[in-house]
Amino acid sequence: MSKYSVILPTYNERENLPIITYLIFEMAKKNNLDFEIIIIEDNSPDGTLQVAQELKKVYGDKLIIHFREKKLGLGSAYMDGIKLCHGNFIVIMDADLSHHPKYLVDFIKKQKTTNCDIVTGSRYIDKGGVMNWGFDRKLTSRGANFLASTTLGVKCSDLTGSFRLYKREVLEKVIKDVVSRGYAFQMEIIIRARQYGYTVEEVPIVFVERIFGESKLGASEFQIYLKGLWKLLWTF
Amino acid sequence: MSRGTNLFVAFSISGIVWIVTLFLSTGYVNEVAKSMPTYALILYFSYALFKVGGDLARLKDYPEEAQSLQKEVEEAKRFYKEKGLKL
Repeated sequence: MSKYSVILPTYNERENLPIITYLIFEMAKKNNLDFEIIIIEDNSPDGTLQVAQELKKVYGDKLIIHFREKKLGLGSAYMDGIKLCHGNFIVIMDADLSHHPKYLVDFIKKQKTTNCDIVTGSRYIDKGGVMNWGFDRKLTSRGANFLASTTLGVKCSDLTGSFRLYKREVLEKVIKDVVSRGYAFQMEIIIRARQYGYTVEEVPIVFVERIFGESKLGASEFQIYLKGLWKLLWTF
Repeated sequence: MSRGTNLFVAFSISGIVWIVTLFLSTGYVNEVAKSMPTYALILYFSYALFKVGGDLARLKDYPEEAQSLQKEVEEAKRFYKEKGLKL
């Protein structure tokens, strides 16, 4: 039977963490799926670690907490998380409720029917979408995806998306070589995976802008994205 | 070769062909050659406008998803309250 490990990097997610944890395990229970969650907690000042420790009293061994002294970035969070995973499939997703765990049922179904190596959630295919996004956010996101797909020549409707299911060995191989930061990190994973000949399938998701906490998006993210895109242009 | 190198080579070759055409052609061909870079830029930005505009028009909002999520948030809070957790 397949086992699924969810890697959840957290920073200042004390309000979202209990909810996302509940939703993941409820989805797993309803669908008779074997899930575990690995929380990578980067010493949040809002007490996210203490919340995670309380949650462990409810979920026991199915919830693993990995504490890090400071913010070390997504890439290293995934690499640390992989070492603690017991599953043969790994899910990466955001902890802020923008990625709803209910779509994991569709991800798993897609993976089983196609035997693909990666399933990626897409906001931009039929039945996909967003909620609580202003026009400028929509324009920035579509513009960024357009720029990436024309510049890099990659066919993927949602290159910057971060809600994905991987075969464990695929993520382990690809992530070792990734050098980008920010949104370019997610793009580089897909580009490298395609380069290695891994198959990628898409499933529609609805991305709901976070209810609790503050977004980590800022003007500097766009700068990092452009720098990352430029770097990827000369890498592949 | 990387994608960047491929694009650089393609642009360089196109640039050389354009410069040679500009210097060697006369009359109507020369007039057309002068405006080719501007035309290419207009073509690209028109395509971008068409593609991004179309994608934006198709990008749907799902208010029911936000409402359903709010209900699930309340459900989760009740669950933890029953378990006696202080979060």
